[in-house]
Amino acid sequence: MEISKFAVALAGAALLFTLPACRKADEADTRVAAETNVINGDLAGAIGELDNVGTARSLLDFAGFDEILSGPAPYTIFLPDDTAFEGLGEEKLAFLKTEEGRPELIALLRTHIAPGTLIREDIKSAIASMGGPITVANVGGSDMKIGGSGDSLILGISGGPQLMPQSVRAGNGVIYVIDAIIPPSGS
Amino acid sequence: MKTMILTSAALSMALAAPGMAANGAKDMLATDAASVDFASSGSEYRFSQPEKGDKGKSGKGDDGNRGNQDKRDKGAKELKALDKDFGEARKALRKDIKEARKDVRDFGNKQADNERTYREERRDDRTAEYDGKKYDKNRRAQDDRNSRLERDMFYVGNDGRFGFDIDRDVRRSRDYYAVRDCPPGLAKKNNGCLPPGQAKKLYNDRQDSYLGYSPRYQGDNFYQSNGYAYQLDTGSPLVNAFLPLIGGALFEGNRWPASYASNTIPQYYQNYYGNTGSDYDYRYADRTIFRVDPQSQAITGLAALLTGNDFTVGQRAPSGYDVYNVPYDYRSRYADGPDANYRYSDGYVYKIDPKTRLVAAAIELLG
Repeated sequence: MEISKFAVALAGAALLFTLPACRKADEADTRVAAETNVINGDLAGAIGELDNVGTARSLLDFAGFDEILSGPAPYTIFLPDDTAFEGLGEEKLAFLKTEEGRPELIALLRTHIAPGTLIREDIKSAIASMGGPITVANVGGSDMKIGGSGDSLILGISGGPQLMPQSVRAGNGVIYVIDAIIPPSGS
Repeated sequence: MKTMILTSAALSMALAAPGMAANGAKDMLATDAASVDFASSGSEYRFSQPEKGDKGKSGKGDDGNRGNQDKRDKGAKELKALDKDFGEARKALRKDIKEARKDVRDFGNKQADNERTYREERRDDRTAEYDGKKYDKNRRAQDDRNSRLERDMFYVGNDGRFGFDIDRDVRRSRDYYAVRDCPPGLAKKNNGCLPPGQAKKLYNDRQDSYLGYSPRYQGDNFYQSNGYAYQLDTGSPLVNAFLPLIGGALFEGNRWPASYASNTIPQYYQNYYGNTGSDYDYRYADRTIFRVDPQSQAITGLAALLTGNDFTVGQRAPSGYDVYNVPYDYRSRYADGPDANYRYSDGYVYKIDPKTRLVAAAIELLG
């Protein structure tokens, strides 16, 4: 009986110790699940599944990128969230939605699109093996840096847009939501 | 000119008339033989000659003195009237001279304006001529190259891949040269295709905001208008080059530029990026593949965005490919290892030597 009480107490203590670990694991699982949210459809459909990217969605649509995002070629899209576009200002944003502003909109969007499928784990391991920021080409005709450590990944050397946890893997690429617009390569 | 002649005549008359009138008056007093009729009407002055019979009318005899007195009185009265006429005539002359001077001044000013305009036009012409000569001198060979480029905007390597030869200078660029056909409704001029005054307006209204995002347009005096990018000459509103912009002239619903018409892309890219079995043509410009209706030549959509990065077998891989990026479906076949890295770009997977970064092979992803 004494043993039995001791065993129960021991089991209870063990449970107390293991509960926080379980909670942490659950949180981690949730985040990983968000990072590796896999959908069967294409990038065009995946953008429709994301929250707080309504502005980017409408701009991609106005830029005529639908066929590109639903085509066979793989792309990685760094998709600014709605707050990021607010940083452009209403006037600028309104201009980008006009026919006169569309060439500039397309140029802007192109800097946010990289060729191929860039998975977060591959980005992190490349940064680790290079010992610092890595360089990624985009379809805007320039390169961009991705740096950071651990789960904190930043576009640019420092102070650039941050890769948010929210991301989606689609059949033809990956989407990372970012919290700021990627500045022009010359700036 | 007619005004000037009239003015000169009037001016001469004004100088001559007082003397003539005075002489006439003396003659009248002395002979009573002539009268001067200043029938001033506007600027016309007419001298009338006495009729031949008048001379015999002068009386002689006892009544001669009174008659002479009457004549003097009459002469004085006429002289007074004559003075009055002179006064009015002078006044009219002064007015006319004043107006004539104004006419001359205005004429001179107009001439000066015309000459100034003419000089400016000549200067513009000379600038245009110079520009034309400069083009002739430096661009003849370039135009020849452009003609070749119009048949061959991009080159295709032996392996069927795009050979990208991107140059920021649009006149040398092979992937996206300046068009020589003007946009609809615009005539070709020395300043490009812009309507008169538009180039100057563009120059005056130029903004630096346009396409800081595109390396091609950074720092080369490019400005956009109505779907085209115009490269202005440094310090003048002359246009060096104009290009159709993606999202502007190169966008769904617009006609594919005639100069680009022959640039159907290689078959592999059509198969990879296009809709299999579709009746569309696929065209290339500025790292972009467009879908075009072969009948109407209308752009019906954007099919692909390319990097334009040059992967040449035996050469070093370009920058920008530090991360493994092969599409999911090919990862098991082309996985990074100690002997080879694999990177995807513009429809191909490239095998790269991890140590030397030299490109070992270009692999098609179809078939």
